Amino acid sequence: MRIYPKLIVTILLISIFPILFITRITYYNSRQSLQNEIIAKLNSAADGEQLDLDNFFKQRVNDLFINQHRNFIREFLLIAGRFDSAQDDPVYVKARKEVDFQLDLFQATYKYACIMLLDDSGKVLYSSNRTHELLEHDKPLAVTDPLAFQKAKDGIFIADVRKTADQEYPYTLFMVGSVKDASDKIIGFIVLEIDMAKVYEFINSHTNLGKSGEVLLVKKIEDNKVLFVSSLKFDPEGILNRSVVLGALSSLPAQKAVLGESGSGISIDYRGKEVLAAWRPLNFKSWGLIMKLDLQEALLPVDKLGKILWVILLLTIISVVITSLAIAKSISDPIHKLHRGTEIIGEGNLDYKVGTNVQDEIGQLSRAFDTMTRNLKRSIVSIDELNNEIILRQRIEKNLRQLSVAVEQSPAITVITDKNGNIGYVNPKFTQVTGYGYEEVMGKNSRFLKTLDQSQEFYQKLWKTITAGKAWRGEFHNKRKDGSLYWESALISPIKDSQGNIVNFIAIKEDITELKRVLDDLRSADAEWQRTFDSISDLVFILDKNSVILKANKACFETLKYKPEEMIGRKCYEVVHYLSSPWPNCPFQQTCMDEKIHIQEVDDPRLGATLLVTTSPIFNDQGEFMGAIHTAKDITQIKKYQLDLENKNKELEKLDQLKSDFVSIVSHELRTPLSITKEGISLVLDGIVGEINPKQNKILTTSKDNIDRLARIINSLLDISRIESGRMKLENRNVDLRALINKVAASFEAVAQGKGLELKVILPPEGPLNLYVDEDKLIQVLTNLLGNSFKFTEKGSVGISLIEQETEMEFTVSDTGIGIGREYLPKLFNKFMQFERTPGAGEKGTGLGLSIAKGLIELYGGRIWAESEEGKGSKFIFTLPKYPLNKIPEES
Amino acid sequence: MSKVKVLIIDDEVDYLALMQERIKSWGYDALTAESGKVGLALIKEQKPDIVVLDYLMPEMDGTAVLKAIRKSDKNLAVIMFTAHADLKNIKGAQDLGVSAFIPKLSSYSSDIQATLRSALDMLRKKIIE
Repeated sequence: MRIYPKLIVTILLISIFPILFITRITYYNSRQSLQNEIIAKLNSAADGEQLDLDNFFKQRVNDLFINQHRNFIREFLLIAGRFDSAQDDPVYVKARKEVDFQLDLFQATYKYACIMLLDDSGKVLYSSNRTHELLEHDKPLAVTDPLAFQKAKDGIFIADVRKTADQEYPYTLFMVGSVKDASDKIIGFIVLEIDMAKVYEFINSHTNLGKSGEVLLVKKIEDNKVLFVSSLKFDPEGILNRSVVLGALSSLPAQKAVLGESGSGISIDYRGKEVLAAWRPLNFKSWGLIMKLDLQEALLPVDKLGKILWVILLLTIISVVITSLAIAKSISDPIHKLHRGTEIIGEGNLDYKVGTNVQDEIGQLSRAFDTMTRNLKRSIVSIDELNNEIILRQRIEKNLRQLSVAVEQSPAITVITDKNGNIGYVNPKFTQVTGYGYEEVMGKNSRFLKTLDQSQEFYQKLWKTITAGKAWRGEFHNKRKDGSLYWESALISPIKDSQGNIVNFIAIKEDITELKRVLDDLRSADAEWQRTFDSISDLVFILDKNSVILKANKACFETLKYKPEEMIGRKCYEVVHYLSSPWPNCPFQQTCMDEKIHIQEVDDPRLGATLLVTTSPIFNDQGEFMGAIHTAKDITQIKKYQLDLENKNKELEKLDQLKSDFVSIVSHELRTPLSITKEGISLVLDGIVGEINPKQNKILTTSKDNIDRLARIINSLLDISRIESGRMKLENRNVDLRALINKVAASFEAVAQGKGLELKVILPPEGPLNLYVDEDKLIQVLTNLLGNSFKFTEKGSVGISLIEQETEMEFTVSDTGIGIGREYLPKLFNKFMQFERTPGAGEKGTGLGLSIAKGLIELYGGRIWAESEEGKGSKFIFTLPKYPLNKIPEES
Repeated sequence: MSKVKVLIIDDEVDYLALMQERIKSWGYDALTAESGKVGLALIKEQKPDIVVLDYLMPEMDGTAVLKAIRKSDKNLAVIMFTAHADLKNIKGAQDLGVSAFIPKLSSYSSDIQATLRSALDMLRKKIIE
């Protein structure tokens, strides 16, 4: 983390947390003290109210007590009892007047709802409300409220608050007390009815509890319930109706008050709301008094204060943030600048000034840093100067040393003479080449080395040149100490003093004897190469990659009729093709593109010849393409031979076709006369046209056999012709080879028996042996081979076997016959191959059977060969592929 | 019952004569025609039981003659003679209802006889039916 954000965070942590803490404490303290203050007020108000109410009711009971014992009331009750119905009696009227006056006044003074006097049975004799008096006269209390009547007889009875029908006094509470005469006998009753409205007004007027504040009166009724006997602000119907069971979770102050508790605090009122309340029990009828107001309302001022505190807090935080940003920046900026400065100086810029004008510690640090940099720079500069001086001296010294070593070890001969040519210095190379020692030559004139090979003028010219102050270059033919001669090339320069006078000569020479020899060799090699090059009969020239002819051989010049200077250095296409740009078909153009050899036949109308042009690329040692060797060979004659050969081949092909056609036609044409002849002989032989004798029979039979042989030859020739011309039709189908071989063998059964030979058939023990092949053709091949074997075997056996290989079927026909000579084996399958091995016996062959067999087998992609040892028997083996690769022509 | 009539149609007159002798020797009545045209006329006139027909003839070849025969008679037994070794090649003829093919260069004249006999057997069966 960088210093700037670190500073900001630190400042914020230091300032904001205490502010938050203090704000919170302030808020809660105010809240608590306000709450306490309100509760204290509530308590003192409740205490006052409790006292006032108890006094009020005490006063009312006292009122009753006083009136029980007032004389005019006693007298009136006694009189009224005597003059029960005679109300116009003056005594009664007087007493009544007194009562009316006194009690009406009392009622008006103490604001009772009603005052009544009853007789001893409870009948109304007087009521401050006259209407009431008339209406209620005949309803004695003993009947309407027997409990009250009974209790009043014992002294005083105080009833409960009740709702009346009277609109003027909706809620009242009456008290009854008995009135006795002197002899303590009950003569009647007095009733005081308190207007509860007065009580309610009274209790509410005593306090200032705000909008939600209430003073309530409650009393305990039966079933452990608490009843509200004063009006409720938030429940207009609640008076004398709303009750709560003791132990419920609402109206907690009411419950406590009726249970005689006196207290205050936060509690839950009849609405279930949080309130600040004080509760007190009353002496009067064990009622309870509650004073309360909503907590929310009570703490409203504190909540307002809270809001203000939050605004202040927010403003404080904003100002703290801004201030901290400014402070952090003012601290971190100089540090950052100092850091950047040290980086720049660290990179080697000693002229950079970090200095800030800030007066604090960081400012002082940066100025101290600048002073340090200045001092550092000063020391570096002086060290640099010293170093340069040292380097310069070292360089001079090194140069001198190198120069000396260079001359001493130089492969060039170095000789320094005075202005007369007397030697002053020779280097070791001189000694090495000439054989003269250093001491030997010191002071000698350098001419002692020269020979007579070079003229006097040569040396005079040399001296003339160098004494004129110019450098001389040339070659010397000199003599070594041992008398042998050598060549050297020399550069002789005069050395002048500061006034321009020649003081010395320096000769730098090189032994070039070897170089001269090599050059001679090279010249002769070049001449030899040129001779060889010119001897090549083909046209050869060498081209660079821009088609410029670099070299051409004699054949070129002669054939193209150019002088060398007319060809060399010119573009090949200009010289050869008379074109101004490269000939696009030229193989050289292709070689230029792909850097490969290209060969092409070119008909050159100018030469009237066909040329075989070869362009071979030439590469330098780096493998870069440099050009090509362009060779043109006159192949006109070869082309002619080639054409002749092709024509001859075509003729031969034609002839071959003609031959095939000829064979086919001739064979067909031969058949008809042959069949007629045969039929004729057969007719005679069969005796149809008359009896013949045995001799005639024998002659005719021989004729017929030879006609059959001729027919066989013709059929064979046809087969050969078809095979050779590719017109052999094959009817392939899936053939069971096991059955086929057995069938072929069976057809030879009679022959075998006749010759006393064993016929062996060897087949794989089990499994199908199928092949997709022309059955007739396969029979033809097998029959031919078996026929041959039987023909050439006199004792032993003839065998036919089949082996299934992976990709082919291998058929073998073997015998123990006379065998075939080694010299005949290669020619066995040629056409008309007959051997001198059939001394008359059996059917004469056509000489075509094996050739046809070979042709047929090869049509299927198979092979046939023979193995034999003379005198021991022969073996003919052929194979047929199981899955022929090429489609075999079939009959469509 | 009269003899079975066999008509031989072949352009080779020499062969015709020999075959006539041969067939007669088997006890049949043998008629000959040296061209397809003559043969067709004879079929109308003589109503042979079996026709032995040469395949390869100038002007009208065996197949053409056979077509002409089939126009008027669907059941006449026709045996095709041919010098061709590949008898099966003559497909068109086969479709036209040839009873048998006999190679001209057959070594066994008994083959011819057997073929004629089987053709006759078929013929008889047809007549009985």
